[in-house]
Amino acid sequence: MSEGELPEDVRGFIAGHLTSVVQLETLLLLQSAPDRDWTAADVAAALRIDPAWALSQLDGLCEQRLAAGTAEAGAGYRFAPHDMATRAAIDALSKAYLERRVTVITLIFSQPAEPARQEPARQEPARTEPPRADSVQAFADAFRLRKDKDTERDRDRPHG
Amino acid sequence: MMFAMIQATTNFMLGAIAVASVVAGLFFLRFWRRTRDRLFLMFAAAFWLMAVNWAALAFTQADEIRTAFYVVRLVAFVLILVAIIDKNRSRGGAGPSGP
Amino acid sequence: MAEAVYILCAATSLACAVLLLRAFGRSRARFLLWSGLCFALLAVNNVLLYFDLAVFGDEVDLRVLRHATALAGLLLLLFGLIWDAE
Repeated sequence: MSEGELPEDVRGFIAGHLTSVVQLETLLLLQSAPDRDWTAADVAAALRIDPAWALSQLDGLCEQRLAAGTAEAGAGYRFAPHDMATRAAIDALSKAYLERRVTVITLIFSQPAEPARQEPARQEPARTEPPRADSVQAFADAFRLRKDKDTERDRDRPHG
Repeated sequence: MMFAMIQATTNFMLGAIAVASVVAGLFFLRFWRRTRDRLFLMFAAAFWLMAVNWAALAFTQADEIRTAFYVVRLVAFVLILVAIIDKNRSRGGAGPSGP
Repeated sequence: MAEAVYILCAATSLACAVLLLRAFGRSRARFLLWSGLCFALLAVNNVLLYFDLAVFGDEVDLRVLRHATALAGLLLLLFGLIWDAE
């Protein structure tokens, strides 16, 4: 199976948003019950992961405007893609993940890792953006003047 | 004779620039389809407007600075400015944007 | 009026060039290099238009040089689009 079989909006969504399978599964979990408020504990139980990691996934999705919510006591997170095109892409993605799981996973892992992970000893305070396999997305991002989006990339990696 | 050569060179260059601009716009249109990011749609329109500007210059044999074609150029670059401003206004944190 | 337009266009092009080349410096995505250079050359094109209109008289015609900068910029952009843009 080749990545070329996935629809363009799915590929674009993966390139622009997803760096791990856990992140994908968290997103699809939220999408599977969009009227439900999920707490980090719910997500951790469903995906069988550490609750702290689940929380970082949920916060990461919020920063990408794919989910909304808070970790305050009792409250939860909910599926909230910021526009119709993204919602449609996620629908297509969940279908693709059911039918072509290996292709989707391969595509997620074919995104390049951030340089911050590969060069931990380098002091690069100016480096705020990971290189992207998708230079088209990089072109659009170049015009974004506020670079505060990229802390979400740090959150997707498990800590400790 | 010198003048004829300059004219021929100018026409050739204007034609090449116009086609290049059309093709660039096509690429941007394709990127818009892929990412649904409005920025690419506006860049496509800007490059196509510039193509019109350059093609019109070739056909009218006019020197740009002696014409009112700067209006076309203005619209094209204002489109680019609008695209940049639009990108920074409500989309500080997300990836693909725009319906 | 035209002078102001050319200055505005030059400034916009320059801004695009700076943003793209800075992003290239961070991410090394080569497409950003070519597109950044394209906008830099378009900035030069607009500056030359201003000079041709407002500074130089009738005896100096920058037309060929102006077109050359625009053509060079667009060819670089096309190259980047075809070769490097994924």
